Amino acid sequence: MGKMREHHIGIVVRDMEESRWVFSCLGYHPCTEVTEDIYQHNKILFLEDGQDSNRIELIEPLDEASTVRNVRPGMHHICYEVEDSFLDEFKAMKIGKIFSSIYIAPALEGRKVMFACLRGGMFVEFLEKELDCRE
Amino acid sequence: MNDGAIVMGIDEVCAKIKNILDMYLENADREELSGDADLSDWGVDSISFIQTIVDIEAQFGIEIPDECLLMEKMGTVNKMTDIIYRLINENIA
Repeated sequence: MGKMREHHIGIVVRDMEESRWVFSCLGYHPCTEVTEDIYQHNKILFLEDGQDSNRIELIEPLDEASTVRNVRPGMHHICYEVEDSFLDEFKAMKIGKIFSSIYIAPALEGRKVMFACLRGGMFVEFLEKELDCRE
Repeated sequence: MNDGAIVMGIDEVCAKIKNILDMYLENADREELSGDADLSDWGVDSISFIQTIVDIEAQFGIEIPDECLLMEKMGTVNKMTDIIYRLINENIA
């Protein structure tokens, strides 16, 4: 694996069951169970399209402490799986700002994630590589 | 050490900040936005706040310290202007 690889697109939804149905009409099916993320206070469900394995993450706020409680429904972020060394390189690029602390992602086998905002306003999530893919 | 920061007066800094905020304010007229208005009352939420910060850093060629990334510290145009103006001058010195 190179330094980074697209992992999924995160989409904020207000009704996860309805959104699950909407995306099933587009050929997506769940590849995880619905998970309660106690760190970011969100319900999470991953879907895949079954062909090129394009993956999307549905994010529904759980409560007032949700990290997306005041975010409009729709596309929220692109997630990239990255090497540990990539974060220093990203900071040196000066193309955006890491604004979150490190979160544990229960829906992603407890791997660590953090969020950055790129110039122009796009949000990205950096996900640590799977353990068995690391050198 | 000047790391790309631009020399400008505080009024110009304030005007540029308002230009950037204009992209994120909901149903608001930039001219009506007073310096002490709470930006959250004008539709700036945590998402648009960080987007504004990133745009400000790019516009002014500065890096805003993490400890300043709070609505309490930068939640009005005047507070933002004061911090940005100070950072610009620290960069130039």
